[in-house]
Amino acid sequence: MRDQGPALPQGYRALRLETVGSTNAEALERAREGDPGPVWITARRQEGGRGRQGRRWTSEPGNLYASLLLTDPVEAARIGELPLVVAVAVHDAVAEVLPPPLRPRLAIKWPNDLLFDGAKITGILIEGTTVPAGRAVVIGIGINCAHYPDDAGYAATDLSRIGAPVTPDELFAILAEKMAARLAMWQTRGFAPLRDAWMARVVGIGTTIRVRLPREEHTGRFEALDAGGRLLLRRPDGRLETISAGDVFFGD
Amino acid sequence: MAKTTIDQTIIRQLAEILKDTDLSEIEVEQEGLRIRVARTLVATAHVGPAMMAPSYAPPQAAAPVADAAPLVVDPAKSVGVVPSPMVGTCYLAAEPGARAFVSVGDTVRVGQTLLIIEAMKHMNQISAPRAGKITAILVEDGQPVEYGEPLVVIE
Repeated sequence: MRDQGPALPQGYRALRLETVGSTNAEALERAREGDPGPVWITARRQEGGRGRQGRRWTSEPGNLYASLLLTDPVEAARIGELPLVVAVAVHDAVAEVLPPPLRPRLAIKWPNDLLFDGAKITGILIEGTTVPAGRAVVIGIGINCAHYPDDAGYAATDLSRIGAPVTPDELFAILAEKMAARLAMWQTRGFAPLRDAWMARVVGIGTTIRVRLPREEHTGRFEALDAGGRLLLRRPDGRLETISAGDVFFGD
Repeated sequence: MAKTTIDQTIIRQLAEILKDTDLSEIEVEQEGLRIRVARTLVATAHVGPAMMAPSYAPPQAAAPVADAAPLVVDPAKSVGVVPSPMVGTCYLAAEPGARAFVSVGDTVRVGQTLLIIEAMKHMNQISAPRAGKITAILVEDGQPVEYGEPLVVIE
C-alpha cells in the first residue's frame, strides 16, 4: 500500500493499492467498516474489474482505476443527479489532458460514458448501500490511458492512441481535483449548472437511438432529459417514455 | 344480470366508503347485482400520467385495478413490506444468471442486500431494514419499479 502521491483536494484522502478485486468492492468494504469518506481507492490493476450487470472491465496496469467513497453527499431525493455530476467531472479531467484541438471530439453518452469520436474511453459504475452512518455511495471510474479492449462489443479507444499520453497517477490528480470542484458546485449551487454543463457535452439528443432494456429494446428519438436527468424517448407512436436505466445505441 | 344499466351512485357511494374507511376493496351484492370496488393503496404511480407510468411497465401493472388488487394490495399492506426508495430498474441478482440475493423462505439480517435498483448506472443496493423471514418477493428481475412500490415482504 502506498499512501503518498500527488496532493489531494482538502478534506479528501486516498489509498493507493497495487492489485485489488475491484476498487468499488474495496470502497464498499471500507464503508461497511465505518469509513465515511471522502476517500479515493486507486489500484494499479483490478482482478475483478466490473461494469453494469456484472460485465467485465478489462483492468490491466497502465489505465486508471479509481473509486471515490462518499456518505450522503446530498439529501436522498437528489442522489439521482449524481451520475450526471460525475460525468461532467470526468469529462473535465479527460478534456484537460487532451490537446485543445481534440477537445470538441470528446462527448458524454447518456448517462455517463465518455466517447472520443464515438469510441468509449471511460466507464463509470456507481454503487450505493446503506451503512449505519447513512447512505454510502461509491463512484467507480475507469479511464483508458494506455490500452483498451478490442473485444468489448463496442468501439473503444485510449488516451495514448488518440495523442494524449498520460500516466494513471497524473490523470488521477486531475480527476480528484475536478471531482471535488464539481461535487462542491453541486452541493452549493444545486443541479442546474451541472445539468447545463452535461447538456453542452452530450451526444445524440434529437437523433434516433435504440435503448436496450433488461427485457426489450426500444427505438425512438432522444428528445431531452427530464429534470432528474432521465432520458426522454419519443416513440414512433408519439408516446414519450422516461428511461432511467438502459444501454443506448446510436442509429437505427 | 338482468339490468343493462348500473346505478352509478352505488359505485360512487362505495368508493366514498372505501376512501373513508381506508379499505382496499369492498364487494356488495344487491338484487342479483354484484359490485366490487377496489383500489391500490401503494402503487398509485401506475395509474398516473404518461410521464410517471413508463410504457414498459409490466402488464400486471397496467391491468385494471380491480384485477390487480388481490395480487398487489395484500402483500403491500403487510407491515413487513419494503417499499422502493426510488424509480429505476430492479435486479434480483448481481448479474444475469447469478444466484438471487434472497429467495422466499430465506432468513435475512439487518443490512443484508435484498436486491438492486438501477437508476442511470447507479446501482443501489436495497438492504433489509429489519431482520426476519422473506415471505414474498413482489418484483421480477429486470422490472421497472416506481417510487414506493412494494418490493419484498419481511415478516
